[in-house]
Amino acid sequence: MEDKRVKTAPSKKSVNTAREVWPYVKEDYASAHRAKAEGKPVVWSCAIIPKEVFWALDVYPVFPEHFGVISGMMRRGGTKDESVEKEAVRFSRLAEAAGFASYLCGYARASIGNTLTGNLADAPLGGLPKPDMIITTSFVCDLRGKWLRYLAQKHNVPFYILDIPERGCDLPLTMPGLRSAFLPFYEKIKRGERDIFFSLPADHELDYTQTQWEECIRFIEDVTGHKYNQDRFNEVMDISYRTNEIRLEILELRKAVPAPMGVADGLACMYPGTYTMGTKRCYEFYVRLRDEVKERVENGIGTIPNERFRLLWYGLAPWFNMSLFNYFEKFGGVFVYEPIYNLVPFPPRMPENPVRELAIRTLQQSGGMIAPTTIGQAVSTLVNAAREYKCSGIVTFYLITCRPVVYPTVEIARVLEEDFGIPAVPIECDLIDERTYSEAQTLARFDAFAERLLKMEPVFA
Amino acid sequence: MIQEFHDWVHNRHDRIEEWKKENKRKVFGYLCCVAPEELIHAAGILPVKLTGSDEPISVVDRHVVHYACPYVRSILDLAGRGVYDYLDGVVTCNTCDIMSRCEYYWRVLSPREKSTILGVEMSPYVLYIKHPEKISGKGVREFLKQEYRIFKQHLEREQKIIIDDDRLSRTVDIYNEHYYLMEEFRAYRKEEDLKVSGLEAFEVEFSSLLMPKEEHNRLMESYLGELSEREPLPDRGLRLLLSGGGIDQFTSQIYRIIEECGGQVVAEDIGVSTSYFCRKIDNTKDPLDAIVEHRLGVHCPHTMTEDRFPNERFEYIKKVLDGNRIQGVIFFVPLYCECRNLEYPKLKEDLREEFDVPTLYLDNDYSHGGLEEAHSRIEAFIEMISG
Amino acid sequence: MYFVGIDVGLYSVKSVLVDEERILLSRGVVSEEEGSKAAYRVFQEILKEGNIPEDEIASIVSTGMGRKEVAFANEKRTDQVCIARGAYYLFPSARTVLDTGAGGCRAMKLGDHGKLIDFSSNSKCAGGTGSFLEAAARVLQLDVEGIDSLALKAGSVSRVSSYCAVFAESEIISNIHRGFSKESICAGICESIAQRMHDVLRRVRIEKEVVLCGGVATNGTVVKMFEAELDFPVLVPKDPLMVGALGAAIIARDLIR
Ligand code: SF4
Repeated sequence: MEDKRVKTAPSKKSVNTAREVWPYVKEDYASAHRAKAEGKPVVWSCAIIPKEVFWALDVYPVFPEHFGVISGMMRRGGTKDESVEKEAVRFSRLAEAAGFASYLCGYARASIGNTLTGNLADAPLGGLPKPDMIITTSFVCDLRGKWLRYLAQKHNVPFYILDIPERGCDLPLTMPGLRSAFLPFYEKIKRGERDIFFSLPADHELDYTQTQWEECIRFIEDVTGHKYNQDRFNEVMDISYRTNEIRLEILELRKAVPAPMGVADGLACMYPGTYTMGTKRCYEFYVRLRDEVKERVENGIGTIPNERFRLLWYGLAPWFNMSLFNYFEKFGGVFVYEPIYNLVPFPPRMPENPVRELAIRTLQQSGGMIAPTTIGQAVSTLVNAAREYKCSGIVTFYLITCRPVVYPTVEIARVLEEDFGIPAVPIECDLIDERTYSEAQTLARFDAFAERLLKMEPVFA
Repeated sequence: MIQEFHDWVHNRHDRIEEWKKENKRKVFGYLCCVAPEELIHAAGILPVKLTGSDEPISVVDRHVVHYACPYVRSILDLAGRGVYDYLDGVVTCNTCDIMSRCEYYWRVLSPREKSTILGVEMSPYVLYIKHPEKISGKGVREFLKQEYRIFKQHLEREQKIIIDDDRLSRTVDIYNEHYYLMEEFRAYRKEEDLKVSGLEAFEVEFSSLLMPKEEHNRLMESYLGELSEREPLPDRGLRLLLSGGGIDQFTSQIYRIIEECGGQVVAEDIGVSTSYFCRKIDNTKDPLDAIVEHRLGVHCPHTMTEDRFPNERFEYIKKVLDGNRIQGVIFFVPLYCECRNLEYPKLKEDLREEFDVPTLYLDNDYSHGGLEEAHSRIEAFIEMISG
Repeated sequence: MYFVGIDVGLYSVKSVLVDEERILLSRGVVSEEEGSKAAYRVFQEILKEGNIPEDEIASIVSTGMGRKEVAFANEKRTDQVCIARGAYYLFPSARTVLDTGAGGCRAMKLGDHGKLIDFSSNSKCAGGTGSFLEAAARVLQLDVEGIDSLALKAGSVSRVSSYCAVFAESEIISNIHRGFSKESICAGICESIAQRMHDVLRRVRIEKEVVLCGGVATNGTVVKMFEAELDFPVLVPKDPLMVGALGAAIIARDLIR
């Protein structure tokens, strides 16, 4: 090959624990296949669904979304040869040939294309083991319901969708059944009031969500013959709760200057918590991570040596080219924080009714940043994040194939720029389909952005 | 008669404002067909379907990304330009990712002061209803009923009345009459010797979403009488089903295009028109329960069911095909409409396998250019079927 | 009895004359005239060349984007139907046909007796079309044939990954800046077109034999790469640009039968 060069590459990690993630992922895929071989029921599910019921009912969850992530990073047979297209592209082309639009989420196109090949295993890390059932949710995006329903139809396995009420947009529910006024929210944001959009769930929302969980448990019981056991469930919920507390602690630590753990590390380290929450392994991972980050803070070790500006990241990750998160380093810029995958605080434990607790948690997440269903919520979260993490610029991911992520982008950029003088720059593409990406356009924008930031006084110093 | 329907469809702003002045009553706009029109009607308010226009977009880009349904963007643009200022309220349901954000967008694009008590808007200008995505299964009805109770309370405060069962029942009767008349009308579209073109049928039905139902019912009675006497159309055309979204007074040009190419739409699955209203409201039940049930009967592409092996959309389309002797299906799907796009490949496959019916997929980018492009592909499609 | 098919395209007009048994003549002109005038001129020329009086023409079918401008045609048919018919006439084993033109590429699926049963196209996006090839040639300061012949010599492929034609162009430019050989860049361009063609074709479900026609079919490297994508050889007519006009002529003949 005469042409050796790298157009897209993984990110450079600074935190050591972040390097554990890739082996962690590989181990998960391997053990999923082992589980399947041992006859353990495999469920295809999605990232946003709390995983605790799966562990409690002893079914093995795997995730088409994550399958998308690895297909966005790898080429067929694991080759590094750039003249071979990424697996996500190969699969997407197949999905598109079947009539799926190219504006659909890359995750969906990748996993659909992989299913359409008829050979699931011809994929990175051996792909996902064949499902015995599929469980998804209506929460976050429209797509995940219909996408997984299609996969259930194709694999001819039972399907369950957990319906979560899409919370009222930006109006806090001060009392059940009563929506309070829409106050001119820019004013509130400017005053730095937190969580003004955070709303408490109403009774009927909670009841409905709880019923949905109960039905979900009944569904798994029916399909697998396994029985739900509250003690076992409480054990798992306990681990989750403790894990979340540690993750929140890590978020606190990440506010330090210099940034001890940047976005490249943050996005890598979201894996255990997003896909394996409720397991001991996951808990231990975050304990190690917390300890390391703490040590870095105590010793003043930053992601880069001389921080000249700090950046906030909005959106999911362009997995096919994570090296973008190191791009600003040559200008002294560091990506500090990415609110998207991080959890909101969990409600207190309710061991006597853990399903109710889970319902509360699910609804609380739906009002949080993890799924910016509410645009005002997203804007407010980003403003607060910029303040707390002392960021002077924001890079917004115009994730053209993901409605929930792309919708708030204009508002976020506009409010931050106009009201706070925090400049924003967009990057436009899919998360794994590199065909949607223009390097020339992106890097030209980034360069201009860096120059602008270098000339500015930081807003939140 | 038909002129009257046509006029309501094409001069909706004028007609609605005129009506408002004459009757001194309020008007609420709704964005999606699952909004409980009946409750608005029972409150003495005129419910009207909001639609976009072919005027160029001007203000919406400041708030809404490009990668969003062009039809909804157009509606929001009109809101931002004050075209919809005559509305006294706006209702939006979470029937897709963009719809659920329209509460926010509308308030930002077209803010309106409402008085508050203890900081609480007693009757908000924009009302959001969490329509469940799942339309069957445990807890669904109870949930939606509570959403409707909250919604009803807002309407009551807006109107300073109590919407009791009597009021609801009166509304249910009027709506049932409407559904009854439409059912009768639909029978004409099933006939081999068509008397109504697809476009005419669309306008007849679509106008019912804009004008007072009572008036529409009145007009329908004489229209149906007229129809029974009418001669069949000279050119029947190929019998087609139109499935899609974002079809209003502007994009209904697709009907004309289809007719020009030698086709005739005889049934729809488009979110308005014949698609969703071919069921009666059960008037033997508690009226609120009956309305909940009625609204949960809508099988739009966004809805899901409790079925373990779901195939409800195809089952639904099968019902539409039944007795209609459909020769082809045209999908006219709004750009970025994930729900419709995601169901298409399977529907296409099933339609081929079970009925040997060919399909054509077109993007509806809500523009003149898009319609033009559709023209040539529809032409080829119809030529293909006619052999 | 004679029959004529006329294909009025974006930049050119093509015409084919057939009798009851055979293809007699074909003719194409690149023309800036209005479609109707050019069509009439080509029609006259073909009559003259064949030495056939106009009243012996039993029927005329027009096709192509400008088909409606051909007032003297008895019938008008869309491209999809005519190309399918023409391809099936030339290759009765054809089941899938891909036509690539300046404005886009489209695939046709044939059922029993060559009946068109499905089609797809990518006309909205310029990737995978003749105009993308031309734009790429301009960037490289080559002509379209130049791309073909350089690509043929390439030892490697500099992949163009963007599917938006505008992005792809800037990718080609950055490949030039990165100092890749012109050969490998040309190969990358051809591969990208072949892949786009494959994508359009797959939408109608590929079945053998596959016929490739239209302008891009004359680019040897693209055809080769397209075959590599498919993993089997395709059938290319001797005159890939005439298939639409030929189909129209055959349809004109069928009309009388
Ligand atoms: S990336 Fe966006 S569209 Fe895709 S599954 Fe996640 S939320 Fe849904």
